[in-house]
Amino acid sequence: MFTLRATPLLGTYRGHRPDATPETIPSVARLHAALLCAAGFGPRAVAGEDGWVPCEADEAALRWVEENPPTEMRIPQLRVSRQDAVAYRNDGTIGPVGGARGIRTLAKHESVTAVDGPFTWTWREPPPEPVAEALRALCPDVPHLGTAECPVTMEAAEDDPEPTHVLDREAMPFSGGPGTMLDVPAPGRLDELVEAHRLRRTGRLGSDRAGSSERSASPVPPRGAVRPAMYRPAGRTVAEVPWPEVLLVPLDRRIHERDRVRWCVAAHKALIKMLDAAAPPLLTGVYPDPGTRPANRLALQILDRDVPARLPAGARSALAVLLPPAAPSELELIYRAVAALRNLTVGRRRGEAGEHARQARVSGAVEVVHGDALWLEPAPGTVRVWRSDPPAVPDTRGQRGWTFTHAALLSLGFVWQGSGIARVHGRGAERDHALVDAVNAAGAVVLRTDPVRRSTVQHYAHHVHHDAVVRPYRVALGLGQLGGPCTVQAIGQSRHLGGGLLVPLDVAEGSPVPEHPW
Amino acid sequence: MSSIIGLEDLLAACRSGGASCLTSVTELAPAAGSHASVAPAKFAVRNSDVGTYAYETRFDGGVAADAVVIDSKQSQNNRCEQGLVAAIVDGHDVLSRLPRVAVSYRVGDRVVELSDLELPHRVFDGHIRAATISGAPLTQDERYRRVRDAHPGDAFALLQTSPASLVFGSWDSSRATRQGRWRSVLVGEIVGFCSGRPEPEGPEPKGPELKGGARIDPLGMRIELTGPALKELADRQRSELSRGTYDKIVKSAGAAKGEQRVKASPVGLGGIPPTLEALAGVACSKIVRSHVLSFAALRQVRFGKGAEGDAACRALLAALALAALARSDGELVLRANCDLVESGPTAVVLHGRGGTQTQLSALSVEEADALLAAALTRAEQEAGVSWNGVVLAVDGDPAILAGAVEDEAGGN
Repeated sequence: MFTLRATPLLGTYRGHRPDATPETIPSVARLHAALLCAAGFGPRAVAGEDGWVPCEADEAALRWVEENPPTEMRIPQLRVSRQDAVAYRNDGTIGPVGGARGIRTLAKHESVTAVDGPFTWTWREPPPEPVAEALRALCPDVPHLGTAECPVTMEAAEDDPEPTHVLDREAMPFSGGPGTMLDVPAPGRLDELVEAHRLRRTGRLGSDRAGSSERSASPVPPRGAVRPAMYRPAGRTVAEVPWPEVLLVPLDRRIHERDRVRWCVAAHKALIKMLDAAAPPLLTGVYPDPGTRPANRLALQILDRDVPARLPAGARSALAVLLPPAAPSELELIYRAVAALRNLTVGRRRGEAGEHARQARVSGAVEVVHGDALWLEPAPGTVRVWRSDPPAVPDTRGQRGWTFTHAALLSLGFVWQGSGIARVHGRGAERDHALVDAVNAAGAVVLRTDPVRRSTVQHYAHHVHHDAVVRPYRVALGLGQLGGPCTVQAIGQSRHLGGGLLVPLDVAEGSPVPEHPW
Repeated sequence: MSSIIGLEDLLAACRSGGASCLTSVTELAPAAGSHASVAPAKFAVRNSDVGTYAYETRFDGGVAADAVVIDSKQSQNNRCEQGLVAAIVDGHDVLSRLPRVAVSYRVGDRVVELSDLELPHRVFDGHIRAATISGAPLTQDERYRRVRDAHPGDAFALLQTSPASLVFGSWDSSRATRQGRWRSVLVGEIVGFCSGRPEPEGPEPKGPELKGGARIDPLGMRIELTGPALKELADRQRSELSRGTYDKIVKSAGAAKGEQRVKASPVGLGGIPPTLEALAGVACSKIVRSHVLSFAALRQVRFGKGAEGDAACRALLAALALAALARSDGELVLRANCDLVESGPTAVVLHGRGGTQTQLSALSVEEADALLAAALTRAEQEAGVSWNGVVLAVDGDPAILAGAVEDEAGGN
């Protein structure tokens, strides 16, 4: 066991990926580059033909890292802030101002990741002692990771930091499944970076005079010897929950509760259109044999950035694609289609604002999380109950004397039958009562219900039958043994398309649930 | 009682195997008491005339909490530099010897001088690169070429010409190759933990809290002048008004025919009724100022003076950073409505190898200056450092002066 640990001293991490989107986690390639920087410029460097270069021991250690990416990582709790604040800064270069020369002023827009503790990279099999010794000596000479605004202290250790993520050597970029794809250095990375630096130090200057219009020349570091690697959440197996996997697609705008069904329908159509005839029943909901229809199919929900979940970096909201257990071939089609989403567009509504109100752009890379780990853990001293956001719609018209309480319990029964509760047979009232009983036996309890008293029920139901009475309602409930505190669930008729998402509602221990928790 | 950092500590930290960094953390509080709000740094919002504050999420004791940036890293470093500039203006014994490059512009009868302590890109700033020296482009001057060609393997020319560029960071970003890229060895910020950040967009927009503002004119809420009178008034003040404001007043005056009168509010006369349009302050449960001085970053710079000579040069830069920090921390003057006091002593920690930590006391300005003087003497002896004030006095490009617009498109 051998571990490198980086502790951010200001509690933040700032970095950017090659496509200029925020980097939330310092990648292994970035760690390698920081170590190389310390080796090439720090006190261990030795004089070479073209200046200072890493000593033999450090070079060997860095080449060993290229061949042996860390097998485990510990990623602390993170929160990404995307700032609306723009700082206008003197760029220090010259540009035209009103036909004359002037110093350019550019806007600086930033995002920052708050970090609760150190990042660690661990090799379960420790490196050869000379490599370990070199890495131990290099660590204190690493001043920062990411930008210079993120000073760190780095150290090597032999302890076991309890990994949160484990390297999946078999995974490919489209393998899908929960995990974090990170850049790792490939063999040749050291040579590539050293050569790029040499060229920058010795290349032709051209005219050195200040021109009438200048641009910052910032060459992008080469990436020939960088490859992606998947780090999977550690110690996790596929949980027995309605939707074991969630793909989080970051969006560049927020979407009102009353519009979420509509946007999810648009996303659903877009995914089907992309796959065309190859769209699996998992996505379309059209099963060749109705008898084989599972309890849940793919569900689409919108997560607002205020909910207690870790959305992808910089996202204002996220489209959550909830995947039920399915064949790998079907899941792979969904991964590919979701990865190809670039934007979403909804149709115009009467009186609605301009074009921009009807479009949402995918603002970064899709991230995958376990369905039983979507929500952040409740804060200490609180009890987690749940509220529907947006409102749910009953799955059936119900039975004589039924209330929204029955409707909510029945909806939970539809979601969990076959996994959390036994599959129920029969039809009509017999089946409905059996489901409610099973859900009650699992400890679910409805705490509050509140009907939505407005006529625009289309906001909350994607399909309204001409003769049907649709009654959206809000509900607060406890889920007993139906899932854990971080499990994603949605209930009701529109649970597959933007309705009835159950969002955590954390109440201080000993306090009553608020009268109107929505 | 813990001791203060001394020259031998700095030298040890700057040698191979030395400490990683020094951190300095202070809890602050509103001067008026915990009930008072503070005015954080104000930022622009893209495509909007309304300003905003920079809100972030930070962890405080393991719990994610809303925080507002009261002073950014860039601003904190600028305050450090302002402290050095003020000491130089006051004729400080040691800091007056700080090498710098100064560019001067002739504005009417005045000469405006800006040094690398005031220009954002320091010695590589466009103002300096476009300047001339004895009529020839500065970029052709051998002394400046040595500065531009300095690199981490030998930064002695930069140490002798613009040490501020090494301490606070600089980037020769427009050069095709051999760019000087120097990270700041001192970084820091002030953040305030708060709750209820505004949500300027989204499903249920919640704008920032606003405060009212009004102006009372003792002579009357409305003061009106004839067109010629207003124009004459504007002409008398022309040298004090921006081009845009002057043009606006003249246009308004020209629209008033004969005895017709127009409002004199553009020249600051008359009252303004109360309106809610200025950003209100932010109540913070805790305010923290943090700085990190990185010895690891300093050790990545060499000066061609051998191990001891290089360590002495690095220690000199570290001492300069500490002298600047002591000045910045010593004057808690950020902006109006943001008067802060220290609510406890500054926690200074030297982070050594293997996770070791040494608690130190914060340096006073006098102690920091004594350390800088000692470090300069050591660097003179060990590395032949010679600091003698302004190294290069250069003439600014008049074309840039002509291109400077009076009304910025945005600011913060």
